[in-house]
Amino acid sequence: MSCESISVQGLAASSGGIQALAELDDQHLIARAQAGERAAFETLVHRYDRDVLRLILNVLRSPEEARDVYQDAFLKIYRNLHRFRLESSFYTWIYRIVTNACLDHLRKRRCRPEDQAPEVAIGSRDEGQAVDFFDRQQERRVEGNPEQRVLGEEIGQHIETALASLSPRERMIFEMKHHEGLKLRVIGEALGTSEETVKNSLFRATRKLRAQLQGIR
Amino acid sequence: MPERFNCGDFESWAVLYAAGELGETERAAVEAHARECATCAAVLRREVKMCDAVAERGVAAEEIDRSGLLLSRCRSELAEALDDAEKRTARPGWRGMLSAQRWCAGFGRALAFHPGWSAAALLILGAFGGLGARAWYRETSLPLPGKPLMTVSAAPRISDQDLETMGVQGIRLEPENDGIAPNVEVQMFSNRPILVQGSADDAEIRHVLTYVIAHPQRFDPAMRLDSIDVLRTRADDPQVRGVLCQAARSDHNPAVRLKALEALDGSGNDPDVLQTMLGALAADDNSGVRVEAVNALLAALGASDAAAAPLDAGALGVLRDRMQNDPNHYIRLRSATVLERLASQEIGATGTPTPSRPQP
Repeated sequence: MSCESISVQGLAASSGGIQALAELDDQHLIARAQAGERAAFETLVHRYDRDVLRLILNVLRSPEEARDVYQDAFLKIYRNLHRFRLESSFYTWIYRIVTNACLDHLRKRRCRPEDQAPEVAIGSRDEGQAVDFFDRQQERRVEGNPEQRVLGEEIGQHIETALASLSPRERMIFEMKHHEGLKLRVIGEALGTSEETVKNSLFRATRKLRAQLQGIR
Repeated sequence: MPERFNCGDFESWAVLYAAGELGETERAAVEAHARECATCAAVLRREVKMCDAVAERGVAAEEIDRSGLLLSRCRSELAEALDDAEKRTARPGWRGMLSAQRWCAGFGRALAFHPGWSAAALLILGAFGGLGARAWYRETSLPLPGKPLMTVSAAPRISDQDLETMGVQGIRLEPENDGIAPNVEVQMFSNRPILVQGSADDAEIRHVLTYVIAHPQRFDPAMRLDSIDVLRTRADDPQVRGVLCQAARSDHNPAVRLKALEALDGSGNDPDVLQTMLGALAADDNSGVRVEAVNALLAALGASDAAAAPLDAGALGVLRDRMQNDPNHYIRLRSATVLERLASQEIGATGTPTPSRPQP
């Protein structure tokens, strides 16, 4: 038998093994990963990491920082996998670790003066100006000319700055709600808190954002 | 949900409305109030627009990694980090174990200001010391307080009547060497301690151990598991096989049932064993036992086509039922594999079509 045929067979066997792992449900993969099978852990990672990376990117808005947090979160998951009990949802457990990693990162970022959000020019906060801001946002979507695009980028920058003014926890909840589309109950489970607390944080975050954005002409 | 909205509270409802957190009835009530009150309608519009504006920003996050390059980079970096983590956990473990200085420093630090820990550490040391001394006494054959007064080396036969009045204190199995049957010690007690010594091939040893397995109400699960452990290599003896089948079917402890099935793995040419495996797959309420049963069945069919006893229509019914209805996905897949294998064996003779695999 030639070397080539051996390697082809080996490749087929290994891809067969990966395919077999991909067919297993979370419960079996977790059990095998807890027993030390690295391939089972990597299959679990590949099952969830796309959603995880999207959440991190939405929160941090920086691919470089997202890479760090992604690695940090999955290494924590790897080190603590033996503590996971199958009674609870693996998805919620992962999200709890990822959200905590994001929160830690946001807190660290707050301590670095170069990463502080620039001040937003706050004008008088009457209803009319608020409607103006959001109407401009609507126009941006309808019109496609370069002037509108520049205006749209400027508005996007304002939203970004307004989001940066939220506390890490408020921001996390706001992103999980509006970008991940998660229910408040699920967010509460991921953050280890009650739905009512999450709801109050969402109200607070919305009020702060509104106040920031109302001042923009 | 209030019957009539107070305009002062409406803002909170508008936030929940825009966040998609309200049910059908609540949404309808919010919309109805907004139709009646112009101020609240403006509040609702503003909330919805703000959510839309922010949500639009979220789409950009996916655009950052439209090609998937970032994700694959993250994955490869994680794989490298896992390699490093594995290396680190492998290395310092041995160094730490060998470094007496580190041990002493850690121990001293832990005990210095914790009298409770110190007491617990002394208790543990005492327990280990006691166990070590007992093992040493056993090895050097010095007289022990509980040492048996009589040693029976498979000479006088112990009847079932004797066993009814006896208890088993412990079973000791020495590891197997070069295919030689391992030495087994069964320590028993009635009026006086009795030690039965021999190998798993001795009739007396088998008699005592099969008695232990067959009487789950009298002996604790640890004894039954030890007995199965000794007899697992002797499942070719019909008497042993019968007792193992009985344990797999009716022992109230799932670990014992599982171990009995494991011991029967390789005896698939016996119709009773096959029935036992099928019975466990069909009716056992423990998914671990069912997994073992379906794997043993698959092994029995795969070992040798001629050696495996043929499966009747009832057995095929059990496999089809498990393939479709078992709550465990793995069992459904394995049942399908068994059926596929059976179908491939009979395909020429019967023309039975290959069963379709269950959907996850």
